[in-house]
Amino acid sequence: MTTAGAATWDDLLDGEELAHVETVPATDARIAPLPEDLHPRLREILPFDGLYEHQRAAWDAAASGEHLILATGTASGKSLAFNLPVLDAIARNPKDRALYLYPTKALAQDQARALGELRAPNVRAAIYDGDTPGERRSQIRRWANLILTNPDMLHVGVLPHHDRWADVLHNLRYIVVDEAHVYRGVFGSHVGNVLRRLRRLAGVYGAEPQLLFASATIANPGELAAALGGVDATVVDRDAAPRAERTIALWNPELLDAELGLRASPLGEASRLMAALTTRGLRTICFAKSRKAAELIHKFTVDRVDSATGKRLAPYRAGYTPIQRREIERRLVEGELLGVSATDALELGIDIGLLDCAISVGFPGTVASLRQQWGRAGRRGHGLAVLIASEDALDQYFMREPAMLLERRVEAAILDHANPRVLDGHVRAAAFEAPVDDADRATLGDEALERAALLPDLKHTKSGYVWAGRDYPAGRFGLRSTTPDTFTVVEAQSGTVLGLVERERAYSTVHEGAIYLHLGESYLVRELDLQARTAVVTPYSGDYYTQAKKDTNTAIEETLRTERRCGLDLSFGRISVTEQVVAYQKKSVRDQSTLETVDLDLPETSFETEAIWYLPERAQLDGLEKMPTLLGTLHAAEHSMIALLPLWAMCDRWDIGGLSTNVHFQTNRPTVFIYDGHAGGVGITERGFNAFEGWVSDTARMLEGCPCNDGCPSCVQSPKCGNLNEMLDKGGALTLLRRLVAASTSAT
Amino acid sequence: MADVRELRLVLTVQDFDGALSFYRDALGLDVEAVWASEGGHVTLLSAGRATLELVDEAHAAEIDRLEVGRRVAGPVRVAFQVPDSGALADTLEGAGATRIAGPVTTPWNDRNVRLEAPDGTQLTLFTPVE
Ligand SMILES: [Zn+2]
Repeated sequence: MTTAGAATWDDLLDGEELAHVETVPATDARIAPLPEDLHPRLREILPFDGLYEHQRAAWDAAASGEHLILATGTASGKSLAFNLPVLDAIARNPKDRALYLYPTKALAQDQARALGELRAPNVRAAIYDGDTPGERRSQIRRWANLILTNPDMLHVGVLPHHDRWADVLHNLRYIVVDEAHVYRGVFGSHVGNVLRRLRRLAGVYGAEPQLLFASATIANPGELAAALGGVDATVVDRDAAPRAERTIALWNPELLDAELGLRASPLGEASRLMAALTTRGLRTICFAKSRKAAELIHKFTVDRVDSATGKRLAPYRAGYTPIQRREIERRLVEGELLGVSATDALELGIDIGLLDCAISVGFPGTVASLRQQWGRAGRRGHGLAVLIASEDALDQYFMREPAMLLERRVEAAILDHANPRVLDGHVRAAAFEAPVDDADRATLGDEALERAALLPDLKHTKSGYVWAGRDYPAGRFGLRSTTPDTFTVVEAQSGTVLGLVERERAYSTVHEGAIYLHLGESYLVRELDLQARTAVVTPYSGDYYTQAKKDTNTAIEETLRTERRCGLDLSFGRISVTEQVVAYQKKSVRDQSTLETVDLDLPETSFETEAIWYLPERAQLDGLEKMPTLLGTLHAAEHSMIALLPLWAMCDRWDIGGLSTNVHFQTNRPTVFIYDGHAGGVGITERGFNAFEGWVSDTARMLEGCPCNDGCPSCVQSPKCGNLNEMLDKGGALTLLRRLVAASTSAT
Repeated sequence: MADVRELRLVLTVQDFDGALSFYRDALGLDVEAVWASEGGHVTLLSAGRATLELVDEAHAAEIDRLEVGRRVAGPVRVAFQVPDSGALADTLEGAGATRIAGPVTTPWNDRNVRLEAPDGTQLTLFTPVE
């Protein structure tokens, strides 16, 4: 049954559910000769006598002293590309040092293992993170020439104590930032500052390290390097690694009720495909968004196959010990296991090489993630990659417009290191580390100097701005949120801290009675303690989710740009958002029906952020001006535009908020606001401002294509709507957006 | 307080790659550091808290009797506390270890398994029973 290379899945790719299928041909590797000047001992450890062209391009850029960002696909040998220049430098001069940054401990661990196996000369590699015992730390600082750490450790554990790191900083030749696309949004904005502080301090100790970034394929690698490191980097993004032939199938579960947008369960569809594929002996991995979903897919698949095949299926999830994980990986690689259903939180850290088929259940949020998941398919020269759509608007849009998913350039990773809510803490930290003066504009940026002049706890002295406080400012804040005003989410039984939630999100996501999702696990919030700023949660396995109802107001603080676009006034600027969570609904996972509405008594919160807002002209609202049509029209246009914004900026629709009003107190006109949900903003909405015409026209196409008449979860309804999806007029929104599109095409 | 900060057990092994895949991958110890000397290699693995247990000949014989039923260990035996000694022993057998005996429950209520690692080191896996 399993003849090598034969596509034994062809007959399965049939039926109403198949929205699109295409086969991407295999590509051959493009090989460049090894560099003449490569250290001879490194030549011996290479897998073959040559490099992929992109690896060679990376070598050449590094060799001529340039900063570099590599943005090539999964399994294209990115690690080797950035390791070679580093290992070559260390082989020649063991005193040279390199810092490797990883977003998680597990990824640092993987790289440490890989480096150990390379056996490169003179390398002394060590992991330096929160688990490193105190006595080992000074040894690592003295002795290791390749230090693997994370941005959080750099921020609180390294930079504020730079005198202890003098030797490392003085000899710092390379800074490697792997998985750079992960550093976007709030986290990325912080890391952008941490890297600037690091470059500045290296300069203080006389070094000028080169930055080597590696990223998934994104639309804007050069811009990401500039935003993260404050440097001009050479972009290497022409992937020359060989690629297996790949069949791509977009699979849309059967539409059961067009008006409700109700479709057959994606989990059921996934298990049906998985059962058919594994029964044929095809090794398959299935990625789901939550542990519960992964487990259900596993269970449904076992129910569909014979018992011998059933024994060769396993779930794979966070919470397994490393040993258990490695055991599953080994069994999968050796073919003992045929099918694994995993939570997509694990897509980065799973070490299984290539399989026959990869199924993604629900669009994972970014094309980069989807490609990472699909990248697992291609064993024996031909792989099958499937996306099974959820009812979410973006998923359904891709099913109707496959080219939007498969042919467009992937989205951009966006961050804004100059967001004042992020920047101020780093300016204080930098001033603590060394006086900040005009010469630091080159590394810290102009905005840092502007903020320094405004911060009351900095003192202006002859040598620059210095820290006048008593504590140590880096200790005041972490890198994962824009404010130290956060709530800690604690699991009641084990006392484990699951995460931090900013106050402005805490009331809507971890209020008493909320179902809180963390790394694919569900928890029920037992108590939200406003004084202690803790949410106590316990594991939850029921079948409802919760949606908060809130009153929101926006006030324009400063208009930064206003342009005539699509025949109306479009603005970008800073607004303040005031919210009060007043109730929540329990909704059935099965059919979204409302089970119960519970009132809440929570304080008001407010925060400043970035937003775009637009004021439809009277003519554009012709025939829609009566209430409630007017409000329903604006509200539906807002929701559907929010659903599509992740096409331009790598972000989650949960990161974006909106407000529509028939008359806003400042504009005195009907107004739609779409704002960044993180205080201060990280550049997402400005992306939308720049791409407004395309954004509007794609949204109109999305509404046009949705089979419902009056609006459904696949078009105008939002899973996070603070009005619980009341007052939505799909027809009105479509009319309005079409008029905007017409204005944009006639204007030029 | 003693001045000793760390107990580090250094194993010189014939088959370095084999030992790496056994201790790092099968047993699941995290890498802390890797380095090389002229032609030689080192990998430092973290293995939880280290302690030095001194036993006299009579007690060593007693442990051997409990775990194995006869006297087998040399002067050094390496013991790892793990969450599930039985399950891990199966994994390690799959990775080339030889099971000598166990699991058995000791009078002090640990579940113990005795193995010989591929490099010849004698291992006890133990799990305190709740
Ligand atoms: Zn619809």
